[in-house]
Amino acid sequence: MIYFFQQALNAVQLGSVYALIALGYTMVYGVLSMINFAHGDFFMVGAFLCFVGAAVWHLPFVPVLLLSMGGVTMLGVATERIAYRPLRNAPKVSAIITSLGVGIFLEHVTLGLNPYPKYIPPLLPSFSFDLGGVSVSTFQLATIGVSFALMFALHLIVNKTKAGLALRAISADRAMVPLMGVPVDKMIALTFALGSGLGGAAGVMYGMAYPVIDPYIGIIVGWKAFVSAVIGGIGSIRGAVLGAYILGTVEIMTAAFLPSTYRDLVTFSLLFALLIYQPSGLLGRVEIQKV
Amino acid sequence: MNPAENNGPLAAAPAALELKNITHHFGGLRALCGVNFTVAPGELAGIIGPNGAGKTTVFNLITGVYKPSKGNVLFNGADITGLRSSAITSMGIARTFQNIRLFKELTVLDNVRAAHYARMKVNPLEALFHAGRHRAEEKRVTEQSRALLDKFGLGALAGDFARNLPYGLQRRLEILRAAATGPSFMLLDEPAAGMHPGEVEQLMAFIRELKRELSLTVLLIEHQMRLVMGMCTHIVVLDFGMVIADGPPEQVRSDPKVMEAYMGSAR
Amino acid sequence: MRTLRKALSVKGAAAAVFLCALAVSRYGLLDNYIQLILMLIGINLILTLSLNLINGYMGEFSVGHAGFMAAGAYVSSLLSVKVLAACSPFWAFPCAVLAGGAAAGAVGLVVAVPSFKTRGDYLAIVTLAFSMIVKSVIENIDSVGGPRGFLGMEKLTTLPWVCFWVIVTVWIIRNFIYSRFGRGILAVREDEIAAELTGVNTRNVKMLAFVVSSFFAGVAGGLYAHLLQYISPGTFDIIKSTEMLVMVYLGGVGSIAGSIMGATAYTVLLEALRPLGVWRMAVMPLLLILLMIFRPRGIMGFREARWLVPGSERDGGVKR
Repeated sequence: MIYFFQQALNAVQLGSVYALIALGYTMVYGVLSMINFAHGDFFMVGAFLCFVGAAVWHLPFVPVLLLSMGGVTMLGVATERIAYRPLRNAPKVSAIITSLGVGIFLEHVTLGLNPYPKYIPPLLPSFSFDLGGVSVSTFQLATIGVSFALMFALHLIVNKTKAGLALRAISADRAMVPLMGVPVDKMIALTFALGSGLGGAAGVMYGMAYPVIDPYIGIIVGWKAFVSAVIGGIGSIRGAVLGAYILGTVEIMTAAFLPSTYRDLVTFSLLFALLIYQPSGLLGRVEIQKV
Repeated sequence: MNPAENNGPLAAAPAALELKNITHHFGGLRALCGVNFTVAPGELAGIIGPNGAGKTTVFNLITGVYKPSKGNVLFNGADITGLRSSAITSMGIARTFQNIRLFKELTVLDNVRAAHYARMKVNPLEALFHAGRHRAEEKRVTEQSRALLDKFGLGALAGDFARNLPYGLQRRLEILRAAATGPSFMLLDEPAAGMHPGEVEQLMAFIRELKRELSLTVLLIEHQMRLVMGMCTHIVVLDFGMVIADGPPEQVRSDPKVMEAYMGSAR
Repeated sequence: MRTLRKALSVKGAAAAVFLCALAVSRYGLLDNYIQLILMLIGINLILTLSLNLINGYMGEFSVGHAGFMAAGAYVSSLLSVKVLAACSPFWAFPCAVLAGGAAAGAVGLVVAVPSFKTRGDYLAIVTLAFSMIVKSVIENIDSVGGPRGFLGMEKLTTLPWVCFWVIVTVWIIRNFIYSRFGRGILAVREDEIAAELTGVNTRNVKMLAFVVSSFFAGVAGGLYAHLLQYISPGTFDIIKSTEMLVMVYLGGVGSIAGSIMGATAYTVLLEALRPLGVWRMAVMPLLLILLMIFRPRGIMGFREARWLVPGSERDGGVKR
């Protein structure tokens, strides 16, 4: 039983990382109906910035977090401005392919600069509490605490501010909103800023949990986070968070109770089954085909 | 066309189309309630009614886009309720759409050829290996499609992309695409929507000619009263998902319930 | 008569290319490196055409074609190592490749089923999930080497064989596109509901498209396995699928000529950039992004080279 709770804690930790990344996918999808395949690589850049902050500049936790979030935010906004905006009215696949290209570009620039995997030194004093037999590390506490704080902040921005209202309006009807005086370009940039910032934070969280990083971590972690967003119903913010924790739980529990090589098999089989059964995810908008 | 001519000798034959007690819900919303009506073979019938009365839903139920919550659709006496749309189409019911739904990035000719799908006797292997029967069928379908386009005035545009046609011709092409499926029954959903009077006149002539050439039975939805009253020999009036009148135009026109549906209640 | 001559000349050109390939490989007219590149171009071309059928002609977005390729590669390798090792490679090899294609086709059928209900972005995820499942399954089967990979195949893939399969692929995919079923999948791309209501059995055409497409991805997998003589689940990951997508969209969707150009340009460019080391994979996507910004539909983009259009279609004056 204690083993189970220990694993549940791990699941919440992993789920939090997925949730932070999944939010970036889902928000961009919400306003642009576009899958930003480079988002996983934004996350990877966040992890590498974390490495730079921690191992090269020897900064403590909070400045490292701010460095990663700030750096990736700028990367996200710049990518949108340079690579995606010119394609806003092009066929949708052009933007998707471009995002794949941006992803490959980021991976290999990072690889060119860091030919070998990097080790991120511990950002926090490492010790664990004992909570009724379950051991809780400072890293886990920091990951879960910071993720919850960031998600709450996002919740406030989206639901309580004027900009958030505009974002929700764009995701409801992108054709109408400009007619009502909403600066769509600014709002899309804001979406990328928020989503990338969360991705940068996820990079730090991931780096604390799995300190050896290479330029390809963004692919598989990114896809997992994307899967989370899809499980929840892509475009739905609550769905992304829900999906991330479901996926985190499934992965950790599979690895805990089955041979660990079955993890991807179970994860993707579940996704496959879900999409056949409920094609628009758990909380996604059901698209009604009008005839 | 004289209604008596249709009803008299054919009264004993099964109706071309019969809706029996059709009820349909969308979630909790009741779209149709106990709809009954028949269309006799060779008729040119119309469905009218205020917006939201359920006219297009009737079309969707006939063509298998939705399966009715209750009731049956009979086509030439056979029950077609719940069949796949493509199966219903290949049995001989073709339709057009309220908002034109052409294959925009295909040529005019290919729009019509694509509609021959169900009637072509080619299996996948013959197509993949370019077998003789495939080539012969391709030739036949191309010739027939060209002939259809030539006859109804789109022959010169066969190689153009459908999206490049002017609106009126897109409507016409959509009807021809439906005609290319080899129907005996055609459903037209607001064929005159967005047309000015001159175009409506041409359209009416076109529908009449097509109906005669292909010996079709036609059921159409239309808001333009001039077209409905001028062409249809049988009119069904829907309001709030129910049939409130059913009969020849003169009778429907003077029906108090119809007047009320259109003028009375402010909607 | 003119049509007949045209058709003959295309066939003649194909035969000439094949004979050249035969001569090159027999008498070593080109050095091995060039031959290798040519073979990679051919294999990539088959993959690109296969993916183009789904992404270009049917208008769906598959991100999982590496899964089909993996199925073909493993099945054909297993056959040629464990079953057909004693047979003459002249017969055994095409049989193994064919079987790989058939296996991949069967796998494609499984992906076709969700495509009945699921479309667009969600179907893209389904294909991705599926390719990950294929990869995980292989990783968990110890008798094919699991994550360590599988080897022992002889180097049976030669330039003439690649050439032969390229010609077969181009021919069959062209036949498919300009047929009843091809117009069916084009109609599905344009408007699925309208397609169904004009009598196209959308289920059947989707199944057929997925089977044909995954068959050729499997064939490419078989050729690839017998060229490198080593395959592992890692060979067929998302990066492989991404590479195929890049080739399709580089050349242009909905065009066979585009696929030929895309596969060739990508393979050659990647080789030409080899001196850059790891940086070549940073330069390559930049070129792709520039192409997408200035020519979002790829090099060809829905246009077709005249010689690839069947004679009867050309004389029909039908633009595509």
